[in-house]
Amino acid sequence: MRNKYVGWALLVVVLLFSIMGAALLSLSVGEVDIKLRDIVTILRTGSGMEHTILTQIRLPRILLAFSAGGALSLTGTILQGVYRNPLVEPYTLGISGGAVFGVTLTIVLGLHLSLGAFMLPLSGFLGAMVTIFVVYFLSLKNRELNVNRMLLIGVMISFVASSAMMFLTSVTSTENMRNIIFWTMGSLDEPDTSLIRIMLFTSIAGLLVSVIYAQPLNALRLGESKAKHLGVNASVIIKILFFVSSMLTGICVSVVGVIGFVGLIIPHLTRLIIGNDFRITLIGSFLGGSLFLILCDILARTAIAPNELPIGVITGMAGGLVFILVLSRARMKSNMS
Amino acid sequence: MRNLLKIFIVFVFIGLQTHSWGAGIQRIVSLAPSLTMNLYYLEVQAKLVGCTSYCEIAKNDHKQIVANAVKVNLEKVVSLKPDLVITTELTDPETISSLRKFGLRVEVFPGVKSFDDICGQFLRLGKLVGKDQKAVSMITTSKAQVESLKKKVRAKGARVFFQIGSDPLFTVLTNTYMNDFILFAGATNIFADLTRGTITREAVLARNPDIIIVVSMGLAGEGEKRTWESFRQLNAVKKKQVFVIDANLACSPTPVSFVKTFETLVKLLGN
Repeated sequence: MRNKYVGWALLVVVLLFSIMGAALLSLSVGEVDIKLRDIVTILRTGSGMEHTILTQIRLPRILLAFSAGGALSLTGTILQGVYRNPLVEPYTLGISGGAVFGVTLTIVLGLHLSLGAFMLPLSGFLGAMVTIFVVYFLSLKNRELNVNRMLLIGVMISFVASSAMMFLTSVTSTENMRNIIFWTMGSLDEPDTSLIRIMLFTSIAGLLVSVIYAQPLNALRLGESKAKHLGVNASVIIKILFFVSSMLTGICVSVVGVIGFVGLIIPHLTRLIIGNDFRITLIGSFLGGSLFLILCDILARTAIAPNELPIGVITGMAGGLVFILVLSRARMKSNMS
Repeated sequence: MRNLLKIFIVFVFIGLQTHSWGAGIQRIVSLAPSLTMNLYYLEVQAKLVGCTSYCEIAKNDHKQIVANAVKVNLEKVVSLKPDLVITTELTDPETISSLRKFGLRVEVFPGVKSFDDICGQFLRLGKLVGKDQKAVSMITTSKAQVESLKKKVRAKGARVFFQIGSDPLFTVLTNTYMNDFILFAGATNIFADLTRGTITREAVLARNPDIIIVVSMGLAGEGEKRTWESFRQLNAVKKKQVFVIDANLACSPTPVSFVKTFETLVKLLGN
């Protein structure tokens, strides 16, 4: 028993050190080559172009990658647990569809031009929130949330939102089309530091809240009725976790756009490595997601430098390949034993 | 001798025919806003019967709308019975071949890569619609204006970052007519070595331009300007050389808007 906890602690320490390593690597590589040993000196001097690059470009990106990667992966883990379905990810419930629709509407109506750039994240967030409430209220049956119904409605709302987005895209100008397409590819280039702070705060708050519900989530794995027998108020827990994950996804998608695969692949990888106990998978997947997105961002910035690749391209390709590799190795191992 | 006379008559006949093509065109459909603008500059707007939903000037003139940014309404174009359909390479090739199948004359204008290209296309359009003289005179005026502006510009030797998109950050590349604004100002494009336009903010900081020009619309441009101004280490910020110019003007490849944009730039750089 003690061995298990030691293993978990070791894993968290390894992940934290890996994140620190990745962050240092991210601080050091880019268009301007900054040596690892010089970073502290540059940060102390407090002036110069290298200082600006470190503090105003690279550090904010690392913080955003850390919080968005963690939040997406955590949400994936929670939702896969609540729905007992391994294919659910943060975007399955139509939340991203709603956010994308909100942003598309803003771009098409030109609200970001007349009211300011803050309209884009705001409309993304409002789109996500509207979707969440629609899914929630349509899934209520005798004041109980029906999990399967919720999933179906979420998927349907995704389809409706994506068709509505295509409709808006088809009646707008080519410049707007370009803006919409790039927005949906996701980006960690966020000049507004207050948005980065909001993202960081909500993702950590989301982790803390979800960890409190780790044991009920473990019980839910047995099914709602068995969880009830174990003294878990399944319906309240599901509602709370649904709102936590929806808020996280809504904020995430409105700040960084749609970054796919993180919420699907990292929770699976985490479970493959450390098993199904939510007490560790929630923390593990959060840190794993953070590490993954920081590394993907390094690739996006440097693969074809000074050009930049959309982060969604990297997460999709790298995540998919790593996942297939790990899955086939796991199969080989089970065949051998 | 008689044979020579026959050949001469044939040539004169063909020449007259060719000359009268443009004059013979009475109904034009334009599938690109910049070409529509050029028709107005050539003063043949009366012949324009169809335009896109983004040809603002023609829309205000109550011309029929036949296309949006993605789709051309084939039925509508055919029903307008145009003698000439003008479009750019951005139009779907299938649409162009369908229009040709209906027996319509479709003239495709390729993307322009320089101010000379803009003038060349303007002349080609002028010839097509029988306004060669008008086109030549407007081009001569525009070129003269550009030459006189070149003498006034105060950016010689400056290193310029010319931005045309903010999310993702997109730079003007060489081999584009917008790069001519930089060259005509006697300045250099800091991303002249690139072939792809999406860049990182860090790359701009690393190359430290003396002038930043943001092509944008509405408040988005001002927001982008503020973002650049937060990087106080940048030469352009130290020298207060971060400017925003209107995308509707700068992104329209016509000789007149090119001159107007260049004029705006010269004024901005002079301050």
